[in-house]
Amino acid sequence: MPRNKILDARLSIHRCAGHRPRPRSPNPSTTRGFDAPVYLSTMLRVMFWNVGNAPVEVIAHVTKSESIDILVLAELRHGAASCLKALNAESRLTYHANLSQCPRIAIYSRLSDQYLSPAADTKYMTVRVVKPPIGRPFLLVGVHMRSKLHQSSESHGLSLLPAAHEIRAAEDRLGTQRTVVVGDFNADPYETSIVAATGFHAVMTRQRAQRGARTVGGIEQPFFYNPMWSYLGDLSQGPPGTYHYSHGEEAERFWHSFDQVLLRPAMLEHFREGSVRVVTQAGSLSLANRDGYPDADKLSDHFPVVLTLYM
Amino acid sequence: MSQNGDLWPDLELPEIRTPHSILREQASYLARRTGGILEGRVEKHLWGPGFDKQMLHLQFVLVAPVLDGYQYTLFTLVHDPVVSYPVWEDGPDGAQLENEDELRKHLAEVFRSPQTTKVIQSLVAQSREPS
Repeated sequence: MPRNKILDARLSIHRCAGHRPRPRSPNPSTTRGFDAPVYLSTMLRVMFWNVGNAPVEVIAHVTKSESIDILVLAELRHGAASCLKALNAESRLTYHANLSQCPRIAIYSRLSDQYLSPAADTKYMTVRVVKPPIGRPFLLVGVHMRSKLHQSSESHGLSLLPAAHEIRAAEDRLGTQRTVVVGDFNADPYETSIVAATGFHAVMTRQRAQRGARTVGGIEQPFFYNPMWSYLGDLSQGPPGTYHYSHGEEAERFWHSFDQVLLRPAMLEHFREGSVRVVTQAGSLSLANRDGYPDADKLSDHFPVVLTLYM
Repeated sequence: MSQNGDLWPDLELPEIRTPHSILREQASYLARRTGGILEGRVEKHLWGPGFDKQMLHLQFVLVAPVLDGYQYTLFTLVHDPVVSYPVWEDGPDGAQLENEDELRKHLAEVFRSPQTTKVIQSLVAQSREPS
C-alpha cells in the first residue's frame, strides 16, 4: 500500500520513530520526513472539550493540532454543517458527524457511523459502540452531567447515580466491559458520586482498578480507573485542573477537574503513562488567559482533555 | 367495638395508581402506536446515598429492537419509596406532580413535546431503513 494511502486510512495509523509517543506537532504526517525509521502504530486519540464560547474555527484548529480521531463536545452551539465545514477545511482527513439523540453531547470523528454507532442515549450521556477498522471494539461514553449551580451538593451527587447505572446496563446488554467514559461530570474525581460503588466507582490507581470489581452490600460493582487524580494541583503534568472557579465561598478549591477520563480495567491494556493530557496550547494559540485559567471570555471555561488509546 | 374483636374502622381505600403502574401502561401503548417498531420499558431502581435517603427512580426508556436494541431514556421520575405522590421529574427544572391527574397531564405534555416527537420519528425512520 502506498504510504500516502496509509496516511489516509480512517483510523489513525501514524508514522512514529522508535517508540516515542506521537509528536505533538500539528500534523505528524506532513511534518515528519518520509524516510524516517517507521513503524505503524494504531493510536486512537479521543478529545473531550466543553467548548463554551469557542468559535468553530478554534475547535477545528485544536482538533487538527492534536490529530484527534474522535471528538466529543459539550455545550456546542454550532450546527453540524458549520462544524464539518471547519473540521474538513484544508485537511486531508475526513471528519464525520456521528449524530445521536443526546442533546448535550456531540461527536465528530474520522470514523463513519458504520464504525461508531449509538447504543443508548439519555439527556446527559451517550453510549457509542466503536469498532475501529484495526483493533477490538469498545464502548465510548460521552457525559455532560448537569451543573452544580442551583442544587445542593447532595442532590447533584444523586443525579450522577443513574448515569453510572446506565453505563453498567449498556455493558450488560452488549456483553462487554471494554468501556471508556469521557466528559464533564461537574464533579471532581474525589467526590462521593465519582468514587462510590453505586456511583462511577472510579479509583485513583491502576493497581486497584485492575482488581476488576468490589462486592459492596452483596452486589459486585466493577471499577473504573480514573487517571485524572494524577492531574490535580501544581505538581501534576499540565495545569492544576481543567476548570477554574472562584466565587468567594468559605471552602473554595479554585481549580477543579470536572473533565475526566475513566477506563474499565479491560481497557487498561490500551493505556500508557502519558495517555491523558490536558490541553492548554494548540500550536500558537493559547487556550488559557493571562492568569493561566481557561479563557472563558474568548474560548471556554474548560480545557480540553485528550486520551490516547494504543489499540 | 365490634363483636368479633376487629378494632379497625371502615377504611377508605381509594384506587390510587402508582406512577410505576401508569408508566408501564403508557410504555405498553408505544409498541402499538409505532407498529411494533419501538418498545417502551420502565426501569425501577432504588438509588440514594445510604439506607435512609434512597428514592425510587422510574426510568422511561424507548427501545429500538431493529437498531441493535438502541435505548433512549426519555425521562426519569423520582418519588419516596413508601409514598407514591408527590413525584418529581428528575432534572433541574423537573416538575413536581402531586397526584395521578397531574402525572397523567404531565406525561401527555412530555409525549407530545417536539423533543419526544423528534426522537420517535428519527428512531422509526432509522429502523425502517433497509440494512
